[in-house]
Amino acid sequence: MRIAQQHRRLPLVAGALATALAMGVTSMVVAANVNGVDTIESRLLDVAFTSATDPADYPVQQLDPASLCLPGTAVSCELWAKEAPIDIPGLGTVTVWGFATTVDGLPQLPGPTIVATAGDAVSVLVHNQLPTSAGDLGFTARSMQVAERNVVPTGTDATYTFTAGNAGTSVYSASELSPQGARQIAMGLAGTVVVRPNPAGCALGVPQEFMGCAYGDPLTGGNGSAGYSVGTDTFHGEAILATNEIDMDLAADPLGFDMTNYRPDAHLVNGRAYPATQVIDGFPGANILLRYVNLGLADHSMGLVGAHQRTIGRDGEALVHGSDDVTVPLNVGQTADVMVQIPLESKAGFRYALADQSRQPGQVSADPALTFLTVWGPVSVPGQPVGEVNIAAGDDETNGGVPMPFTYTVPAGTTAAQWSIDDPGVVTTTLDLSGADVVDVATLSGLVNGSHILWVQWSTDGATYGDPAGIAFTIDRAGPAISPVDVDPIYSNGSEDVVIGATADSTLTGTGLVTDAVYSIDQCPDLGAGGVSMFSNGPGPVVAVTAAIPAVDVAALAEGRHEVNVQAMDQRGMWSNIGDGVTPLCGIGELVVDKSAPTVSAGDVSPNDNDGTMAFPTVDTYLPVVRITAHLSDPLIGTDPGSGIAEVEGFIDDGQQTLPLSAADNGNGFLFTPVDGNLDSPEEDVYADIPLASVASLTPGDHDIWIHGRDLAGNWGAPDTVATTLRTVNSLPRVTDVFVTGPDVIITGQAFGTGVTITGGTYTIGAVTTAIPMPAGDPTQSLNVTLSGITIGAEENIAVTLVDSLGQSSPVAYGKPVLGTLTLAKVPNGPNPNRQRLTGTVVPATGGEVDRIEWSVGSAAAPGTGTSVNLTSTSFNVLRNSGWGPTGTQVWVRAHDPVAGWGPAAMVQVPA
Amino acid sequence: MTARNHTRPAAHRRARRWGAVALAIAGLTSATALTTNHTVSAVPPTAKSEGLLCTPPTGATPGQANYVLTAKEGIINLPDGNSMLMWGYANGNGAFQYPGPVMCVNEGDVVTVTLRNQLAVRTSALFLGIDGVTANGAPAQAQFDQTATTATLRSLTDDVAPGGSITYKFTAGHPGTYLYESGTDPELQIEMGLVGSLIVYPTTPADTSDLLGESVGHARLAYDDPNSRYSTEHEYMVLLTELDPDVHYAVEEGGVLQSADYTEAYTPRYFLINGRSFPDTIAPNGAGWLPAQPYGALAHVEPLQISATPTESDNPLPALIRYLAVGGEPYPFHPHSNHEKVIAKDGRLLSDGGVDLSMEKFAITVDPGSTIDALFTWTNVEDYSATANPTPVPGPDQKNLTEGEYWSGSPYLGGQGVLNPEVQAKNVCGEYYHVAHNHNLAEATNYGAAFGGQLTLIRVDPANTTNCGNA
Repeated sequence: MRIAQQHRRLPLVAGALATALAMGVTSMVVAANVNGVDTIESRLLDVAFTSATDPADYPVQQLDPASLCLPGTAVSCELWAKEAPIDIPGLGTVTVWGFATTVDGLPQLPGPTIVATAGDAVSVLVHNQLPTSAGDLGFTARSMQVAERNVVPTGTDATYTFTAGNAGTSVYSASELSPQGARQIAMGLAGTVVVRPNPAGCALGVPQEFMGCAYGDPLTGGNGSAGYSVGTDTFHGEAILATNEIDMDLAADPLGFDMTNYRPDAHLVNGRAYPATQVIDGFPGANILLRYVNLGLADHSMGLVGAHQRTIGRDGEALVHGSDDVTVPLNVGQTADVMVQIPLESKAGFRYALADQSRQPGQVSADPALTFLTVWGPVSVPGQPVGEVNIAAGDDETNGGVPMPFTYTVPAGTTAAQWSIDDPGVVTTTLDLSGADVVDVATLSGLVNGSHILWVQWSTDGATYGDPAGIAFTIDRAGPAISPVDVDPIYSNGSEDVVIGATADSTLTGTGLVTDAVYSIDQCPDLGAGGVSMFSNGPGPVVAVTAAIPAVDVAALAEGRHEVNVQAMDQRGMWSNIGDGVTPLCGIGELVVDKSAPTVSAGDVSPNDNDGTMAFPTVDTYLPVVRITAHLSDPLIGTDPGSGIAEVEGFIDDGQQTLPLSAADNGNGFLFTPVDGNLDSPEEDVYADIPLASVASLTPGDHDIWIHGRDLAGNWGAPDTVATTLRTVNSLPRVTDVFVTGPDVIITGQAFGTGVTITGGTYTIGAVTTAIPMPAGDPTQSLNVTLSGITIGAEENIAVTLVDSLGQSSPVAYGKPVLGTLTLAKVPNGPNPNRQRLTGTVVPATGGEVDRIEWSVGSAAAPGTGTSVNLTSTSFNVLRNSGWGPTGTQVWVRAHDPVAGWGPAAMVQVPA
Repeated sequence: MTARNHTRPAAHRRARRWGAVALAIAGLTSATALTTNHTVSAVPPTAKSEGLLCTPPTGATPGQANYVLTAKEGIINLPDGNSMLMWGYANGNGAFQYPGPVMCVNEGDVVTVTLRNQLAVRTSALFLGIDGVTANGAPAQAQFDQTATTATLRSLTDDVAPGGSITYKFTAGHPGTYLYESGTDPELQIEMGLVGSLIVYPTTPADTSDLLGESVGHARLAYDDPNSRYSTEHEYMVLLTELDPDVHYAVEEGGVLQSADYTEAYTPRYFLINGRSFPDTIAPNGAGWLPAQPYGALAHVEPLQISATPTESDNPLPALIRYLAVGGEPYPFHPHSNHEKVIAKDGRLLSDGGVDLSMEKFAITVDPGSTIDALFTWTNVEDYSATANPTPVPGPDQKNLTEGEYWSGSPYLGGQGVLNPEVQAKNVCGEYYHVAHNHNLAEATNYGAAFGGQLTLIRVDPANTTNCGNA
């Protein structure tokens, strides 16, 4: 049987190893395999593999003798290079160029291994049976001095000789000196050279049970940082792991293929693709020498899962100091000798994955360069069954308050079974073999929160129990975790509902659904008791819980700070707690009840006693202003600061604002700005700027300013608090109008300021200035006098000034133009019945001019606001297709003097 | 090309949708602590912004370290604006993150890792280099779908079905740096992001008798060996991975759940350090705009300084850099400015019976599945200074310079000069910046655009200054 040739039974076991391995006897049965080689699949289906208990039955890996050259002190090999389709296990039929060991044999991939002893003279007879197109063929061996360098054509033979030098692992291949050498190697003409130490036996002192030595020096590779229980040079078994690849495109067209497009379809180990790769056998404690050989064109990073590899040789040379590696880099053309000690604690059926860690999704072969170290060894408790235990999903997370059910299998022959928690077999409870039981509450209550393992062991005699089977479960007593509570608004005066929200998360403390939530003010509910139910979007593992605290409830709270506590319950009935299942835990948010409104103090106007020209010094010189300042205070809530000033506004007694102000006016005033830039504290200095133009337009005298503020809780201060008073003073008297109508001149004027009166004035015609006769009676603020018999010559105008009781003179005013004739006529024009014509003349003041008129419909527009028509003479003629309106419509017209301004308006009606 | 053209917009649409989810989950995470802090990243608010960021185990029992990992789906962002659907290990019920949490345990700890599977496929956690792992109490073993006549490999270690959980347990027997990754369909699942790191700290305390002042408290050993002493203030992780966006697109839109279902040629386009590509690599840990990629890769040191008699101004401890890699090929990582002293590979000290086998290297080749620990120091060899030791040649005229944003304006360490007005200076205190990168320069790119990918910076601050913002 071929499998037997690859393994060697362990002849002798000594010491502690022998004790560990001295187990029962089971006959060995080999299951299905691929081409006579054990693969991981055949091994898994092999009953003998998992039940082998006799150390004498443990096979260890040896090199395949079928691939060796003829041994001897003068090693002679004969290789036939040929092209042929071969079956690549795990891949299929592929045409390769390879070396065969017989004239009729198929080429092998990789080439047959040449095994020699250090110092041997090796001769290799190469028969070139490749197609002529494959080119001449030579032979070379890396790190060896091959005497012959000739390449020979198809159909001829050549012998190549070299002396096997150092012990180690090396590479032979077709010679690169051939023009097609690179393609010949890529197509498979390469193999491994193993050189054993001389003498072939191991150095003195190596125990007999070891099969061989890699380098013949027990110090090879040093002791390593990890420390090995045995020398790193001696091995129980050895395996070659030769890697190369298959690119189907290259195989289809070996000479025409563009090698820059080389992209492997499969990664091979010893000419096999996973899952047909050959497993490597060992047993607990065995040293296995792995001889990595990279014969291909791809780098590898050979990683071993579950044990370290000790690299003791590289590229055919022993290392004085080895290294302990998880992954062994294996670049193209390299070799590495590594020793793997199979862990002593491993058991029958264990397997250690040996996989290329260079991972590239998208390759046809999903598992590049993958095989397994498989372990023949003892089962831990011989003769005792091992079953399975399971906890149903959902039951494996518990608060410990109810028994936790579980199921278990009862293997054949079982007469007793027991369970235990965390430490198998330490504190046990007997099972009744019914296949189902529970972990009692008393046991669960003794477990801390977190992950635990339930173990079950089986026995055939009730005395000795077999290996435990375990299943993990979780103790979770915490109840849902609650986020900090969002309170909106945080500050309330109880005038509206307060909305609260939080996140309840049962996944943070385990699993399960959040099923209920409550809130309570100023106390954390005792595991739900006394709380007010909340809305949630659950039940679910993570839910949002919300509630609206009624305004009446908020209003009933005392002024001050309150805590809103939120608590949730999971489906196991656990309210949020600190993890002991008893002490309640809440998410907390702050609610501040504030019912007292801000007060105003220190109101001021700067500059006050303002005549309409005095500006507050600001940087903005384009907009002169008067500044109003005040201080707002939100009263203390108990000993805490108030909620803070949120808004400040003012009103001014400007003749339009009526008193008293009411709550309806809240929010309609002009806004104040905080001095520090932020309305964010219970004490705020604020200001507002009133444009100077607005101040100037105020009637002289006292103007009250009311200021009030609103706090964050929504409390407005009383709206009728007089904060300060703006006083406008010292305005000059004004001449309101000077009308010149023939010999009569009507002069009106006004003085400003409390108690200020018009006391006199003058009018000037030409160079003659005459005092205006003041009316009889008490001096008044308003003046209206008619001068009769005034003669104003051509090119002359009348200039008037008035003087008030403060001695101030008004600006000069001039006589204004009036209208002479004014007519409006309907002048329909064919299809347009609406056409109207406005005609008239203007009488400028004597000495004055007129440059335009303006008109308005319905009433006299304020001077300068009507529809203007420029004039070049003192008559005008305005034709309007749309007319001014139906019969009776009033049209008002006034004229303009460029110096004296607009005159009085005259009216004409649209005729019938 | 069709698939690639579709990749980006599809990923963007997905990113917005999932970004909101990620934020929401992160918000819940912070809420667990019942604090008022609201953070949007997977990193706790107290986390340090630079260097290795441990996820501490739960449970306070000495000698035990418990973790819960949740395999779930999420989205990461790439610097070129692309985003990628990933599978990853989240910490407990925390937000998705990539790579998985940095598990930090002590030598001898019994480590329990419960893996919850929220993916649509079976998955697992394989602890490379850790021996004696059990799964639900039994020794962890490769899993096969087995019938009476066939056995097909399903996972390289015990795996768990969607919706289920599994508990792995092992003793952290050796100090060092280790990878954990999916052992289930690893060709696809590791590419999709199921990878993380495990740090085992030794029990041996560091000798501090030759130290003075602050450095005493920062001294620690990486291994049970005095030659592995380093500063805990300067401990960094460089976890090298790569992504082929077509694979992720196929998973997101094409229903591919197994590597066998994906038949395109594998072409990685993004190369990442700690789950980020440059320039995101130099962003701080937990950067808000990378909510699912919490780990930065900026190294930050001060010049080595050792006096014959220790002084307070000495800086005698090296930095420790922990390299890990998964992917399709070896990554030759190259730190500028100095060699690094490689002291360990695969969690094993480079030492043989007391013989120190560490070596100084400027190309640290990290093979897939392996880890390398290296000590790094930066020595101000020439000690140039503007006054005492000016450079022997005058510097170039500023008009002829194109000034980078990390340039201080002065060639002297700690010096600062006036930069051209258009430069947006990021230099703080005259510190130096050196790059450290994969020297396969095609992999120091983002989808081919240089510089990006596996590239980060080493920041060297002037010695004993307080104005560098990190005192």
